[in-house]
Amino acid sequence: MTKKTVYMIVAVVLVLSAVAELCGIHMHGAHWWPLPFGYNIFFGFVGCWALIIVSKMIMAPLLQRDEDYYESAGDDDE
Amino acid sequence: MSEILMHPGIILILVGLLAMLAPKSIRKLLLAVGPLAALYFAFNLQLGTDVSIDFVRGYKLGVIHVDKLSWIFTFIFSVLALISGIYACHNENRMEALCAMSYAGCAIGVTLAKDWLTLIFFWEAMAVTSVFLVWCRNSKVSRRAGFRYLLVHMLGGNLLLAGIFLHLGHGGDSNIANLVNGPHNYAYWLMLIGICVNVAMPPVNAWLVDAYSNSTITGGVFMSCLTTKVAVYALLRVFAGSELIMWGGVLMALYGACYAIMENDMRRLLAHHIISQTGFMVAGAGIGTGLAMNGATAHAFCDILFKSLLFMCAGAIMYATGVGHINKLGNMAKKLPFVCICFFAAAFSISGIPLFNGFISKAITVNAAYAAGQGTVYTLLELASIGTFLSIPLKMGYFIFLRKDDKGVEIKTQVPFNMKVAMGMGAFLCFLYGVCPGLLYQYLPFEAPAYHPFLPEHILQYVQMLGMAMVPFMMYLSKMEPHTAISLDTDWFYRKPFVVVVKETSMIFCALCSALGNAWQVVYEKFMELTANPMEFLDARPFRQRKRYNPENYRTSIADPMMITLTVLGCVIGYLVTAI
Repeated sequence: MTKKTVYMIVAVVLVLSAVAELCGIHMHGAHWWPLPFGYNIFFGFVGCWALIIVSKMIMAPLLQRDEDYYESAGDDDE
Repeated sequence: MSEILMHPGIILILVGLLAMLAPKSIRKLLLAVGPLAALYFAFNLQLGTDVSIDFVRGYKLGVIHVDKLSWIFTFIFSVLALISGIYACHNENRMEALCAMSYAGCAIGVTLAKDWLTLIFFWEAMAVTSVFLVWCRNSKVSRRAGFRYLLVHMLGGNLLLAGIFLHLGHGGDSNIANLVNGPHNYAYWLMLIGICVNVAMPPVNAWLVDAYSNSTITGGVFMSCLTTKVAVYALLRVFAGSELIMWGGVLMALYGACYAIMENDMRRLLAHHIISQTGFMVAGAGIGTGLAMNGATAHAFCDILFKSLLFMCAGAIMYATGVGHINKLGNMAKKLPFVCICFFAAAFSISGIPLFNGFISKAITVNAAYAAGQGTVYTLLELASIGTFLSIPLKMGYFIFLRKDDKGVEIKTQVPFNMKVAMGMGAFLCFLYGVCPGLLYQYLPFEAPAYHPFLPEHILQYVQMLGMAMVPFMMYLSKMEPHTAISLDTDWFYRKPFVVVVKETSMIFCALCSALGNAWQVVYEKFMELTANPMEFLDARPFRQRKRYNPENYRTSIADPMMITLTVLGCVIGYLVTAI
């Protein structure tokens, strides 16, 4: 499955869901921010993007070390 | 006494003992069928059952106390013991069979405990039995990981024990009860920290990833579901409604999700997701409304099913290929199609995709947060849900099963039939509870408004959010491929600087000891030298006598005592003559 196919499937699903949302299917609640049209689509994209940026581009360079950082491979006698 | 033998936990411990003693063919049968007896008794436990045994000075240990909360946890632990027992029944290690079953038995022991002392007994026994599931892997790395696991759990267990003693010492109720509305004294905080160690709340979370990834393949399945879920049960029982717990749960959910995105080792990644999913349950316990606590219970129930299935799938891949790193795997869908189907059933479940059990459980807690007016908690838990979807179905699913490049991995050993049966059972249950949530909801323990998972807005919410999350994953596909590395966690503090501090402190004390020894020797020798000859102080010529004591030097002439004697004698005679 190519990237293009995935994008196409996602686009179709999101358009259909957006139509459903326009037809009146949306959350009800005390807070305003999950309620606007397209909130979940926006949050899904931004949230996933932010997690990738934070994990792979900020945390990984700071926190990742070689696998034998604590114990060298020779320590394992399996 | 006969009632004790109907305790599902005791039955599992007996199954473990028999399995250890039995020959291989009977051991297989015992591990596969024995937990069925525990499941039968667990299912038939009557609400309100109370069984106590005499302890000391009239103190009674409440070993079986059944209410709705303890029943549902006992039931799902028994289900796990059955599935994991089948998964592990090809194992030849007797010790592992004993410890795995005893561990599950002790977990049930905690959930059925009525009083604090029974709880702490089974709580500590869980740590002792589970550490052997790490040590049974029989490598230096696992032995060290086991010791670290034991040290952390002994710390947590002893904090809980100290809290319980203080609580009882201050006249607290011996029966387990919610402490949030009581005094927040030392006992409260010690017990809270003790339970937080087991629930793997940062900063005391690193033991989980460290130990679970170094456990045996079959032991990891047991471990993935018991310790943290028992701690969630304890939080629901004791600390429900604590705001601190709620924010701790949110932290766990995000912390685990972020670490999982970086991870390369399959079981380490899944272990990070144990922390993340447990965070949802902890947050639910912290929110404290009936709906949120039902959500936490339901999610613990479902998490046990899908998390054990994920660990079983990862274990099956490791068993078949000998490889545990994602970057060394590929195209497994073609090589292990059954494992692939089971993996995606579990992956869709953990992500909360409709028609799988995670959807009917995770959404309760998230929506309960919203209903309780905790908008920030709601948003952050949704973000953690996206993180789960990103790292399990997308990252693991794509790089392990779907990408065309198979990285030259060969199937060295066929996955045993019993492992496939266990995985099939897990996948079936994930799907069953996903499409028939009423099977679970009827047993939820807390009073709360009915929750309807299949409302169109709930389904739409997840379809939009998770569907859109695929776009950044595809955009950053090359960056998402993990590479061989280890991520530093809070265990760094006790594996690096703490080790240096201990070593350096030991060296300082050794040097100090040695210096003090030398100084003492000098003082001693000088003292001996000086005291060897007291005449140096007494004699009128001290500076001329600075040599070791020789009595000849100080012996007086015989004439002196003779002269004194004769003088005294002369005086006496003279006196007597004069007087007479």
